[in-house]
Amino acid sequence: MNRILAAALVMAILSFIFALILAWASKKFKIIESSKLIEIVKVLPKQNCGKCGFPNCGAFAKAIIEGKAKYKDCVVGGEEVAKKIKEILEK
Amino acid sequence: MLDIFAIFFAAVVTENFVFYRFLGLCPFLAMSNKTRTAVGMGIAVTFVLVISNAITWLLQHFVLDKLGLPFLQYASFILVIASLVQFIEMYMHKYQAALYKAFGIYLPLITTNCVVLGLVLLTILKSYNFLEALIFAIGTGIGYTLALIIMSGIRERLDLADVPEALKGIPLALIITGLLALAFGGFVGMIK
Amino acid sequence: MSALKDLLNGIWKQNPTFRIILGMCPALAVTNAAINGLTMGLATLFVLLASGLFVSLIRNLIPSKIRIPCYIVIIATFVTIADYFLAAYYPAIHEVLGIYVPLIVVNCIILGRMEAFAGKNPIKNSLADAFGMGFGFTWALVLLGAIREFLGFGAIFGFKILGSWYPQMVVMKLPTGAFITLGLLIALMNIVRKQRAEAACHAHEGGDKPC
Repeated sequence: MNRILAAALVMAILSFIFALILAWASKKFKIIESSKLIEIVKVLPKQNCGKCGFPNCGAFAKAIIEGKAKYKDCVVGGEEVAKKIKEILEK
Repeated sequence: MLDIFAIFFAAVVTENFVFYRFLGLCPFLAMSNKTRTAVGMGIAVTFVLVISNAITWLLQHFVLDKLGLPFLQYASFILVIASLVQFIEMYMHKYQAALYKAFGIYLPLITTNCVVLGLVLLTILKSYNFLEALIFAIGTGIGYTLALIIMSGIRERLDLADVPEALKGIPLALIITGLLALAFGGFVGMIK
Repeated sequence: MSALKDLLNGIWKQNPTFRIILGMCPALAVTNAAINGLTMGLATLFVLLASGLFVSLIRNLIPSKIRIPCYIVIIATFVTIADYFLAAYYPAIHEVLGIYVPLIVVNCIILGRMEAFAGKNPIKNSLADAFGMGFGFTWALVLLGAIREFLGFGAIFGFKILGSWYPQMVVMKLPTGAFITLGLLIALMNIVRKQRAEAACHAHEGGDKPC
């Protein structure tokens, strides 16, 4: 029983410490985004696979807004995602 | 002193993590097309390797061993690695935006890169002390970067060659890796 | 039934090893003999099923921002169980598989399926998907292992097939053999897929038109 308790405690404490550090980090390293950017990111597959040519889905969304990428470029998302992005852009 | 050198040399050459231990293959195959990105990936991985090895070594010796909880090793180690990578990613996104963009997906993918987890587990298995652990990590990182650079150099040349359709991409990359493994295999037994 | 479709998906159409190209490390490291490939495949299948079930059960309780670390810890827990199980009941194979058992934790197949499927789908479908992927992975590894074992040792699953006249292909026992065999297998599957696609296309269009 002691070991189960100790194990649960260690994992809980470790997770807590990391959660604290990461929460602090997310505040300290925060970046402001525009609302359409977030909407686009929401409809992307978020696998960060890089097949569109951008480092991650966030960068891809940003590039779309800046006009540096086309809404059709997401390989994993395909037609479905392209349609959704087009709708967001035309709102 | 010779011990440390042996560990370093083995990690880089004779027991290279890619060609001898089959680790870090997914990003290795996917990211080794261009030399510039290969170097970037190698540096990022080395950085994560050294810090992860330091933290997990301390975790193992001062918490898991002291409290007799060896079964928590995999879960706690991967938690360390995932948190570390997340933290580095957030820091770089804000303060090193250009570098962050260059590293791109490579950064979050390092969490699932078996090189990192493989390294921290091997360090404990081999009962290295703290200094040996650090050297092991640096050597592994350099060895991984070396493998990436060699591979990307070859693949960049191959882009200009006429490759049969079925072999294009991954199949050919695997065969090349196999030949490189054969070459590196020639170093086995150099260090006793 | 959509769950059946999810199950069959991982076996051929989106086979993790030959198609999505995930989980390379264990696929190459432990396939020097068919039995090792089988054990690794089954261990991965177990982790996939258990994690998939768990993740699917609590998928609505996990806040999106921390879902990846949550998935990883869940996966690590079941890998620890699998590791201890193998160490206790099959120590010989456990010794051979070595660190590749704990490395199932970072096997991109598992995290990938949690993220892409189990985290968003009901239990039945998640289990079907997990089983399909696990089974697909297992048969890929057994195939790879069988080829390497046959050419390298003249045996399959330990049964000697080729007599002592056979000069064992040493390269098959080495990392090189693994890389090359897998590379050629994927190339072969590419050819098969292309021919099937062309045949289907020609059947549609009716002969001369290019696909």
